[in-house]
Amino acid sequence: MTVGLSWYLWLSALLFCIGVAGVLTRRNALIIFMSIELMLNAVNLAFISFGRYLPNIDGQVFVFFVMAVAAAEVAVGLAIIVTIFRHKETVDIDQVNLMKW
Amino acid sequence: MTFNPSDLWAVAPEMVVLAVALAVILIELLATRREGVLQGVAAVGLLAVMAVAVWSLGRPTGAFNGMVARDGLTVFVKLLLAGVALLAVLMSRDYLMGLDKSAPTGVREEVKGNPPLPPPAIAGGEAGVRHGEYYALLLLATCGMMVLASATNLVTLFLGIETMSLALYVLAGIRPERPRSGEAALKYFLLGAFSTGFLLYGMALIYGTTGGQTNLSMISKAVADLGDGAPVMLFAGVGLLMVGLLFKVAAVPFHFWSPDVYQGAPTPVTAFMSVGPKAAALMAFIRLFGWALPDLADVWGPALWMVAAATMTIGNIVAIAQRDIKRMLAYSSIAHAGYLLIGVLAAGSPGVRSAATASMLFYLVAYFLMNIGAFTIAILVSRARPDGDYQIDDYQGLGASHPYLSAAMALFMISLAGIPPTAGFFGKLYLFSAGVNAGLVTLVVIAVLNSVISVYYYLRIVVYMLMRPQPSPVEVRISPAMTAVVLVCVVGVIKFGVLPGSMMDWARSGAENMAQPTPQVVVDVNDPSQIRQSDR
Repeated sequence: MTVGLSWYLWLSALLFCIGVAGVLTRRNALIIFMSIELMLNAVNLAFISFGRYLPNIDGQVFVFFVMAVAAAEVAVGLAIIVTIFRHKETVDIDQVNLMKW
Repeated sequence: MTFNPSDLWAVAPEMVVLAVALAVILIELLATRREGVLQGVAAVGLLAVMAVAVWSLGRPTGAFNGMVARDGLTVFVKLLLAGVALLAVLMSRDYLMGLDKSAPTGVREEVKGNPPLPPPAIAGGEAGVRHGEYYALLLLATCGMMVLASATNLVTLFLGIETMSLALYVLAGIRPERPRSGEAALKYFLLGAFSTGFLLYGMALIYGTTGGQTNLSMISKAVADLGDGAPVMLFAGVGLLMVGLLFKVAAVPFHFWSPDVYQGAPTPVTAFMSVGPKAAALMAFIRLFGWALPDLADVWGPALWMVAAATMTIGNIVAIAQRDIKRMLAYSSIAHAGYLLIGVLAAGSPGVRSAATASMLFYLVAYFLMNIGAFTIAILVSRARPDGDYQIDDYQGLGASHPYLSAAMALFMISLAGIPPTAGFFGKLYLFSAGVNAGLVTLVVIAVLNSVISVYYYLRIVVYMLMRPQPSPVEVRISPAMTAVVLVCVVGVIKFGVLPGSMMDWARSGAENMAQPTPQVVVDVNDPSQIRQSDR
């Protein structure tokens, strides 16, 4: 039994779905943020496995950009979460509800 | 793969924006913190950006091996984006200064149980926003939008979206002393990052199923070659990519973030956000769906049709119920995004592509002028209140005490509703006729009915201003910069409402001057000689 492209793609799809489920069900901003990172890494896995099997180098190049942007996103996102925490002393998004959704 | 120095012209406006953004930060850090100087540098810098954008206009072509386009369409959109940023910069100083003076620390609500933490300390011991930082972020967001609007490759598209979004997340939360601002930033950030996940997954699936293409023209070719044998994964990829982009234009059902973010963000940022990202993302839509994926139009077409119909209907109906003018304008901007999606759909049929693109450009110009104008007046009126709130009731009787201001507001409202003789009317006329030419008659009928609904809530403000007695006298103070912004908007709305021809001609020549996609030089990774050649 060989491990082919479809194995990696199924794994990537599974990770992506776990990430989506995490974003939709969890209420802690940090956990939601972690789930979003999981989604991005699922994308990275898909890019790399496509790039490996096609074969084409662009997939790996794309992953570098995704990682760089994700790092920038972490910096901005954690700063925003800290600001919220200073006001509310919680990062539960159900408590962040001055305006109705 | 060689580097061609003339390619730098394609990104010249972006380079100037970046330079100005860095200059503003450095000036604040090293030279002076006078607000007027910082605002002046940002404003003059944006004028320089516009000059460079016009100067960079040349034969339509791709640049950097097909990463970005250099054509009339991008120049037009870059001018529009620089204009949006310029007016936002002009209206920002008064708004930010107003904050510094009235330092609304009393607005902080109490936290149950624990005493609130002290407000975040800012270096220099001053309350409020650092102006240099603020202008720099505004300029960086503009740079991201420009990249997004000229992207012809999935990589540049992604980088443009993220550069724009990261700066906007910070801008939405730039008032740390105000809980609503932080809340807006958190919602925008979490939902924005979530949608980025979908966008990227869509890109990965398209990359995989088209045989490793990221260049839009190569994707187009690969999709045409696949024909009927296109795998389901490709359709899934297109769908996910569409979700990611629809989030950025705040289309239903991906609009939940926008009213909260628009209400919570500082108002000049809201004005900027309601026009800039929409214009840039719609250009990406045109290039991606109108140009690269017209072969799949019977897949994405019906989905986008339903999204457009739902977006304009829900936006207009919910706007009626709003009591806060920023929230009302937020829902109205959702509705306008729905109208603009008609243009994207029309651009999917090859015969009317450039006419549809031109009508979208005209509509964006009109929407830019009337929306920025309305937000400027909203800032002025709210600053006349002690608590700086944005209630629609504040407009009662404004016509008697401030006739000129009310006349301008009435003009913007009439234009937003699409009543002649205003720019909004001709915007709708061109857009809807492009839709009819593309055979979207039902959708255009829905859009016209929606325009009728929208008249109700736009004209309510006019009725409040002219026909209701004033509950308590308000004193609206108007500074020269604000007057300039309102005047530019008023003149533009009237000019393009009476003589739309010149702007429409520019839009048309911009749309017809769209670069045909340049194929990318393909490098085979399994052939070492090719890789070494490409490095040279």
